[in-house]
Amino acid sequence: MTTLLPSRPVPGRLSRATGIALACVLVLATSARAARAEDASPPAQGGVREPTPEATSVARTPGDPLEPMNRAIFSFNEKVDAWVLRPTAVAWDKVVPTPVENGLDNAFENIRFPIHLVNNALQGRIDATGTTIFRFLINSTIGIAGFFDVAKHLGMPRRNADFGQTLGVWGVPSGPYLVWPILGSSSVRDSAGMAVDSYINISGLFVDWPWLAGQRVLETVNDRALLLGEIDRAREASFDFYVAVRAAYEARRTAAVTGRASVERRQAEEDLYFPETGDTPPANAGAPAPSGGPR
Amino acid sequence: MSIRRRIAVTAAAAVLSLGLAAAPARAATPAETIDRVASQVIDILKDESLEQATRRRRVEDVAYRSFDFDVISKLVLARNWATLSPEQQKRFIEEFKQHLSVTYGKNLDSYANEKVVLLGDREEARGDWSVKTKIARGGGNDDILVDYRLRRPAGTDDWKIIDVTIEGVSLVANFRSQFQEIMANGGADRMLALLAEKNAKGESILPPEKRGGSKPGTATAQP
Repeated sequence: MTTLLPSRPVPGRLSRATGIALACVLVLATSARAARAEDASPPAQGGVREPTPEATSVARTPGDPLEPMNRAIFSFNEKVDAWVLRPTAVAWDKVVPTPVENGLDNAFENIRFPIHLVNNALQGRIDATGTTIFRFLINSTIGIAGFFDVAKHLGMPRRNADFGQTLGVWGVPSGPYLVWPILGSSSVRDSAGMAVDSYINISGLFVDWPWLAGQRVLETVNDRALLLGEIDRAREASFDFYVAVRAAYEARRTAAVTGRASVERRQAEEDLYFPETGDTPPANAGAPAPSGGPR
Repeated sequence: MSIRRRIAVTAAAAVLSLGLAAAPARAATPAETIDRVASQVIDILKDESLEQATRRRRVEDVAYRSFDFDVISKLVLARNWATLSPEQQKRFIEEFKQHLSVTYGKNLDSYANEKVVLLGDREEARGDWSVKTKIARGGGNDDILVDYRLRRPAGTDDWKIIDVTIEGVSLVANFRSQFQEIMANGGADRMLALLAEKNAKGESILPPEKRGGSKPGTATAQP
């Protein structure tokens, strides 16, 4: 217990774990795609430029200028979820055992290998790029078309990356938060990223579009099935589910783009954990290091 | 459970409680604190002889001992904290604590042999510590990364949890965003009414715009 590993950047890998995150990132399971670039460890100091102060403040609190439109689309998505997606996923979940759902999830993830590969490379993450290649080779063969995540058990967990994240690493600010019909949470930058990623995804070269569409639907239902309890509980725990989802999405995307040691992240943490250093002089309570006794 | 196992368990429990009683002799490190809390909770969850309500209550006891809800409340409200009257602050702490325990209590029933693995710890700004853990779920399910932030209340040796970050999403940050929005649109009274309403129901509520007709100040919701 005292022999803790030294702190290190968390190897990236998202997953449905998102959903378990207190307030989950997903409105619809598909938005997992966008949130998937999970890697909290950006390239080592070398290739990254520090964000400029202005870029920092923009990236950190982008606000939500499109809120009215976003809320409308969000509630549309919630209805699609309540009436179509969730019921379908419940039925699917009744028929399909969880290990099979997990296997399918792995297989879909495996197919997206070109996206992870190209983006890890563009971000200059050499070991993640290597890991991605290795994972694809091992999981596609020994793992039987990616159904079993063998590589994970060999100590090579997912190192997902996407083009929205790549843009972020290159210094492009996220721009306003944006909710897409069906696809869910995104931002202006991440939407551009999604478009580019769909080109990088070369599955279309091998199969016709009905297959792709079918795969997409299956994947969406399967993802949603894996998140049934999580999303229900996140809805219940939140006071304003729209805000909860937005905040979670932005937190995860910021984490995917910035390093733990970055100025930006430190400032955000300072803000989070020592808010009394903000503008307001504490009126009554809120002295630094408040002790246990409230009045 | 065989007699022998029962004796073994009882003996273990006795040793454990002695150990706990003796513990204050040396203050636990942040990592030890998290480790202790995790194993206490898992022991409770594993104990199949407990009824659901008892189990929740015991976990709640552990949580109340380990979390600093005063600090959490202040962090969640941030700049808005100072705009509350002392009496409102007190109500917020109580209601928010209850909200967390109701909503997270529900998660406890889905325990399926998960294990908590400590990954590392480090010192943060101004003496805070963070401890990284993962919840290993097995069965092809992905692990979940959970980070804890700890702080020592002034004048004590005990580390208390002041935030939990699950897969990159901080509890404090997420609730702060939500409360900020609610405070901006309806002020402290509206926020407290919402909290009370939700707690009374133990259930989800309508989105804020739909306004439940709750008057500022009147805490409880009508059924």
